[in-house]
Amino acid sequence: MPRAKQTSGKAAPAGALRQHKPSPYGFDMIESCVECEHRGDYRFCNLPAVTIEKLDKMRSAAVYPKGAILFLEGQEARGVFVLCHGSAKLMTSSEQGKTIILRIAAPGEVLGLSAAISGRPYEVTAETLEPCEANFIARRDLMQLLREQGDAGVNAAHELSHHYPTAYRDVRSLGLSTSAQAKMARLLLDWMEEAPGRDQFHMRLTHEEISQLIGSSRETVTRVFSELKRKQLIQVKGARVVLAKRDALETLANS
Amino acid sequence: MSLPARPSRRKIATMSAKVLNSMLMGESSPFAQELPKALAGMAGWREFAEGELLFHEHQQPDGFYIVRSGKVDLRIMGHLGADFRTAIYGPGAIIGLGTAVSGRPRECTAEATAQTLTNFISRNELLRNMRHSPELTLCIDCLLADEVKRTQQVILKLRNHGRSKRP
Repeated sequence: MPRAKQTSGKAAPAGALRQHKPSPYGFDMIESCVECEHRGDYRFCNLPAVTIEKLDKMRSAAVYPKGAILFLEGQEARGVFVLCHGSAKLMTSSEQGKTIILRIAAPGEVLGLSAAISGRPYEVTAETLEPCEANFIARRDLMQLLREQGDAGVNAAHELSHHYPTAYRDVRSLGLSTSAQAKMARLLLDWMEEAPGRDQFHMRLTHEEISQLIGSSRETVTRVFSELKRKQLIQVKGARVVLAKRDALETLANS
Repeated sequence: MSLPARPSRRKIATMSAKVLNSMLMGESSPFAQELPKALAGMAGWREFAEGELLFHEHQQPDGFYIVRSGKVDLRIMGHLGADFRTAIYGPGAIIGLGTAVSGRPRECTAEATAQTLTNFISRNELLRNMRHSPELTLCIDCLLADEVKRTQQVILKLRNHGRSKRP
């Protein structure tokens, strides 16, 4: 599961170029995109100095508490949110009115990009899973940036195309998996892959949210989780999930 | 088969600008019809017999296709040999653009289910033109945004109807 890169919270040394301001949530707010130390790691923000300066002028930064709604499904796309810190769930509703989580967004992702570019309403609702910092860029400014700065447009294309593997993994899981166990095993393996060290991760979702992610019930998620622990495929220590038997979990995911 | 005359870069940019302006005006996006015409200038022709593959899952992308005539199925393969059709495309459809941009392996298999004629645009040609033309890049962004939406709809359909009513 993606995790926010958190800084130490210490004050920057005198004369340092980076401008950070402590937020009430334990991470330093990024005061300037130009000086942002994560810029090179983020697909969309990895831009030449001229472009990033333009981006910096058009953004408005804000810190959001856990559970904040950045935008709602069906709402007119007024712009994008570049997630600097924290994670957010992107969700929609099924025909039966159930909540479906499509994806968990990680730091560096641009939320609402496809709707803003196409000029259609947001296709999903974005809700923060933890305290987040995000830069809002109004649609008009974004479109102007994309039209004038080719590198921003290319990065936007890469940002949009980056989510294909996740989306197809969902399609594969929903279309071909036969059991909740297989879906759960695949989800855990995916989260392990994204975690540093690839053998443990910090669980930020509730069982209810996992059920919304894999298209199952909360009760089934709790039962499958217990079974995986009982069979010692995973170990759970507080919110930390440790992979104990990768091969067995992969066999289960492919069943 | 003779190739069509290659339009100038200026012509491509003009067509892209027309698309762009209508987008900014908030009209329904016409790029699904317009952009293939613009892109066709960079394209070569590829013809596929029924049952032939345009590309297969996990293959490294070398470019993308615009379907001119015929029919193409997109399928994903399961680990135990089962496969699952995610979409059927006809003339005008753009196939394989996302992976052509990202450079990641193909996520699905594309199979011609009838005699199919396509325009093929190589990844190198696409990326080179994107770097030189922000307007073309923005049009590509629009197509990718459309593709994101379509993929989400497939996921929703699967979530709503489950395995019994696959698309």
